[in-house]
Amino acid sequence: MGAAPILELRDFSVALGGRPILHALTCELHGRAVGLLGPNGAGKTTLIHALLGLHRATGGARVLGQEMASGRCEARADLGYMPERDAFIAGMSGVQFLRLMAELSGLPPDRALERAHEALFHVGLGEVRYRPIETYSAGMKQMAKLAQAIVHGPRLVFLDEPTNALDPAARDRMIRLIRELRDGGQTRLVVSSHLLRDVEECCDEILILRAGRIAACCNLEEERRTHRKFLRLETRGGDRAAFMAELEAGGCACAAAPGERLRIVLPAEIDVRFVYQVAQRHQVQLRRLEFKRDSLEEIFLRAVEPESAALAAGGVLA
Amino acid sequence: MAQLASSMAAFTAARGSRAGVLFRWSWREGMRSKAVLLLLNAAGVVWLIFAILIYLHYNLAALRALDLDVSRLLPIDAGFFSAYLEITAAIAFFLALLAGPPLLTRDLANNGLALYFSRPLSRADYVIGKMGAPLVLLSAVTWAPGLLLFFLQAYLAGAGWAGRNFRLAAALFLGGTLWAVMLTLLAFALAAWLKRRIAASAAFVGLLFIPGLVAGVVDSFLDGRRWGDLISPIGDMRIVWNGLFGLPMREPRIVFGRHGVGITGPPPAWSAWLALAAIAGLCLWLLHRRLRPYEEVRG
Repeated sequence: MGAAPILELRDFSVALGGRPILHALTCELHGRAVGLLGPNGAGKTTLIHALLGLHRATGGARVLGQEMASGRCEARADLGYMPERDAFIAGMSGVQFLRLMAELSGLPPDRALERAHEALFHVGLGEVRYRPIETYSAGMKQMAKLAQAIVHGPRLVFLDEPTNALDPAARDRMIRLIRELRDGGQTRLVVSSHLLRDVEECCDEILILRAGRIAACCNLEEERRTHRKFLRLETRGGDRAAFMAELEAGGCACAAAPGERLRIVLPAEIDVRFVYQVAQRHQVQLRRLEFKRDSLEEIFLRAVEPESAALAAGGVLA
Repeated sequence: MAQLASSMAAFTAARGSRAGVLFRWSWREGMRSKAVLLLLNAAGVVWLIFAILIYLHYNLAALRALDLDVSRLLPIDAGFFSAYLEITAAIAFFLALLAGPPLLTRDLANNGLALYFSRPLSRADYVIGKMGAPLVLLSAVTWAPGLLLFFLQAYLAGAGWAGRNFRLAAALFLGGTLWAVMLTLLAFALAAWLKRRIAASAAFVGLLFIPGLVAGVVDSFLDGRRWGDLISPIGDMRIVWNGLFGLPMREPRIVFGRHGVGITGPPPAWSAWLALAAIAGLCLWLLHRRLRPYEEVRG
């Protein structure tokens, strides 16, 4: 967390068409890859657009240490953006498209051409780089969008729903590319997605928006560590009541579920071996045991649906 | 999958050069069209014919060889240069039709603006860069070769002619530039508004010619000056050109209208300038409204 923040927001608000979309966001994000999460309409894309200067905003925003209000146009030389929607310029080949984008970002023409070839090979479009871009498949267009976002070597890349319209194989390839970018160390990422799995696989920090407000902003790994461990058990036979009583006496929270299932929450200091030992003492067969740390899904649900999450938690512990 | 080279340090270019990049790409795009090249050749032929006419005026041997009399040739005066401008203006119209709208519709039809404006490029850079190519193209067929004709005539006519007729050079330059700017603005505004090439091209043709017909209908209800002419950009431009070249407007004439006898004539030059300024303002407003990376929906 010692690194300089990639994004700093102070009372950052955006209104579109007179309607407030983002409400006084204040946060600091340091991650190598920040996941921007939220239900549809939460304001993820609007936040990216406002940070790129595509929408007018109030309040303060520093991107890579640069105040966006003052040097908005110039600061964009260090940024890359992969939009959510199809975005390309018809009538150009892949190479021409990327070369133009690179030149507009400030690269000299010969270097831009070189980088266009490199970027297209990097995303797996090397073989089709001379084909008109409008003839690309949806997956190829998605890759071309990624290529144009990184062709000029930006320090920060905004990826808006990068796995949209991709089949499973293409999705895996996209996730791998995003990870490579992240691990390369020269580019930091902001990945907006409504697919928690994508964010979980790529990001180390998350910003969750709900109705234009920050619902959670945390380091994913730290958040997981601070939360308790959940177990789902399916049992047979033995003294189930005594089994549960001893677990509770040991500091666990237990809840009986329909059938012979149990839900247990282990405190951080208790190991799962304790459950096996207690089960053995009471002759309870453990037919199934799902050991589950706090997933991004749980963090997300807690953030966007605090009431329902609390109800769910109540159901477990009752 | 090849690794992207690690030397990904961003390059920085001078602020103004982004518009230059767009200009270069737009120019290349325009020049790819065979029709555009054909029209440029046609403009060259027109220029050659007018240059030959000037040359013949000063070459008695050539006149004798062709069995021509100087009095049968067009006089080299304001009318001569005005005629040249009108002919090349027609070629410029077709050039604007072919080269103007696609420059914008290609970007707009596929959400390309978000890609441009997420880079260090402002809307002004974008418009200037994109408009540069058609403006240069239209200038290259209108006032630029017109000035060459003027200098050819000045050279052949001898000392003093250029000074006495400087107004013609200014009229060629101003008239040609104004036409190029108007055509480019109209083509771009319609492309930005309609987003589809065919629709924008059709609207471009319609907007330049249909108001001329409507003007006739409007004028038939007006017994005084033909104010209806002002709604036609071509009509406005003719009035402005006549003013710039110092050519007399069409004579006012007595008409027998619905309200009795009256005098009709073209509207004054100032009103045509105002009408052109209003059209240009409207085009700029449309460009300002439509050239956005994303539409804002009013809630």
